[in-house]
Amino acid sequence: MYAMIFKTLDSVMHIKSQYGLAAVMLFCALLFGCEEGDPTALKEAVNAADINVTAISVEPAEGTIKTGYSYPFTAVGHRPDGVTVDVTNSVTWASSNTAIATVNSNGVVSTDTDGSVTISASLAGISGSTTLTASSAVLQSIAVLADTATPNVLSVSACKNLQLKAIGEYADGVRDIIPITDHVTWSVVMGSGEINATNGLLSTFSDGTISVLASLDGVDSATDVTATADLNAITVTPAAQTLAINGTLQYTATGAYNGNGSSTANITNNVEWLSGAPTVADFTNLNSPGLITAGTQGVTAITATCGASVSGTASLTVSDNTLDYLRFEDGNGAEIEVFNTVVGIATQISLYGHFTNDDKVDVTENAQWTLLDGTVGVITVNNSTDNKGIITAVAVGRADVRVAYQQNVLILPVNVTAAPP
Amino acid sequence: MMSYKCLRYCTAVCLLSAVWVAPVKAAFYSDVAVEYLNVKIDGKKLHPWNGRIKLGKPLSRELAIEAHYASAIQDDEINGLKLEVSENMAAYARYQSPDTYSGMVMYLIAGYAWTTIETSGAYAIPEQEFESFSWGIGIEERAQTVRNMGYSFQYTRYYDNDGFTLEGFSLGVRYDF
Repeated sequence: MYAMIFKTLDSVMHIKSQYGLAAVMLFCALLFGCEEGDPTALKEAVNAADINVTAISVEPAEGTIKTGYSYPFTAVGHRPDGVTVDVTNSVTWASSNTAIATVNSNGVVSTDTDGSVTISASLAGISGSTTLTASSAVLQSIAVLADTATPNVLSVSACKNLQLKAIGEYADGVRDIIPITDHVTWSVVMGSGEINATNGLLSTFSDGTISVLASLDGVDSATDVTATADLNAITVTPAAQTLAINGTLQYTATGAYNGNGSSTANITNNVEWLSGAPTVADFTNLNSPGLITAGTQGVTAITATCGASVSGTASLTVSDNTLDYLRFEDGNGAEIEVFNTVVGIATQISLYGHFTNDDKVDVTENAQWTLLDGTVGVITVNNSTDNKGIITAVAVGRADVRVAYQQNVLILPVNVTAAPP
Repeated sequence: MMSYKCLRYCTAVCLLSAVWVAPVKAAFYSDVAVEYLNVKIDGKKLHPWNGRIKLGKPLSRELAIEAHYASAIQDDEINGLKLEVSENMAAYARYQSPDTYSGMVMYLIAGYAWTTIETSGAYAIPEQEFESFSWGIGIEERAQTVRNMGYSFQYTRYYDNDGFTLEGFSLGVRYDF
């Protein structure tokens, strides 16, 4: 047998080189794809070193959860310099007793029966753990807190939102550390506000006190939340606009606040929208705050109000003419079919609506300006309020700008050439 | 991942058999080299150094078989995790271009490599072993002044699977016995 193998090899190796090459290739083909070894541990160690964590803690620390509920745990890596990093998806999760609770690769713990388990997260020899108790004890009360850095401070600026969380307190004296926010049914029983029934997000519509009710398993808990009167002014945009009959327009309300450093916030969804002449135009879509629909020819005053004292206004003209066509124009009123520019130049492009009665309205600020597909890096397009339609040439090439106004979409081709030397 | 453990033995048998049937007149050669390793693990790179010795036996003008052994001479580290390729053994079939008047040859090697990786310091894990089909490409040039000597430069791919790549660039001195 061996003699035959050797004889064969001998003949292969000694005859012409092309046969030798073929033998090597055959040899490679036999071995190609063969491998042994699992780099998982090596990858885990290098990733841990790269993140540079020296300790891991599991959050929330020691808690009780109602049996049958699930909750996402978080693994926090601690670096030597004191910086913490979320390593939830890098660690290996384990439960000390899978009959009581299981944990998936993303740290979501699901409880099945009563008892205590240790939930651990490990990464390359470094691990952290927490003790979790699953309890079927009868719910006695619900504590409602703010889901913020200061959970006991149940206040928010008027016309802003506040995320609430619910903590269960049980007959055996145990208090959840793990919130039951998603299991509670939420409602507002008094005050100017609205709350998401399933996730506890409270929206305030005025300053004052809002009484929130959290209910679960026949247990009700009423809690007062204070909406503070620190809203200074409301700005409504666009401030002046012409709209064709049956046309729609989305308004935005921006609130300016006092208090710890003045700030602004988009409060479009929290203010009350009113039209002075509802027959001219009105806010009829309750699911889209600030969206107005034009009815008949005329002028109406638009008001956004938060509470009784703070409001902002705008003017809307509804024309009996219908929009005939849209076109891009330069500063001289000439149409732009293809925009040619050079690297480094920023240019304001305007979009005009031409109506059937020959009215011409600048709708640049009411349109949505975006870059169409690919060609990223050739130009940038500004779509921020008061700067809409500014196209900046970045590099030589071609790009398309997509501009949407009401139900109309226009494409503006842009050619960018090199700046002259 | 494919697993053909028997093939490692096939490799050894094939190469030993080739030596057995090689012409008696064929001599041996050796090559001593330092090797700069590129270890890529999940996108992170480490660069330890190894010392390597190679023993080869020509079977014809173009064909040879080689056995490589390498050991760590310097580790590399990432945030306290020190990593070295503590041992690397490989067996290759070699096919080279015909020797020209310039004295330079180019060659390809293909075979099987066994690698042991050791870690120490923070995040250290137990010794890890890998083995895989391995290939490489290199050039050799004969020394003009010293008979039977030459210089070599070689690229070798030892392992490449599942986010872990091990490859090396070596510079060596060859001696023909």
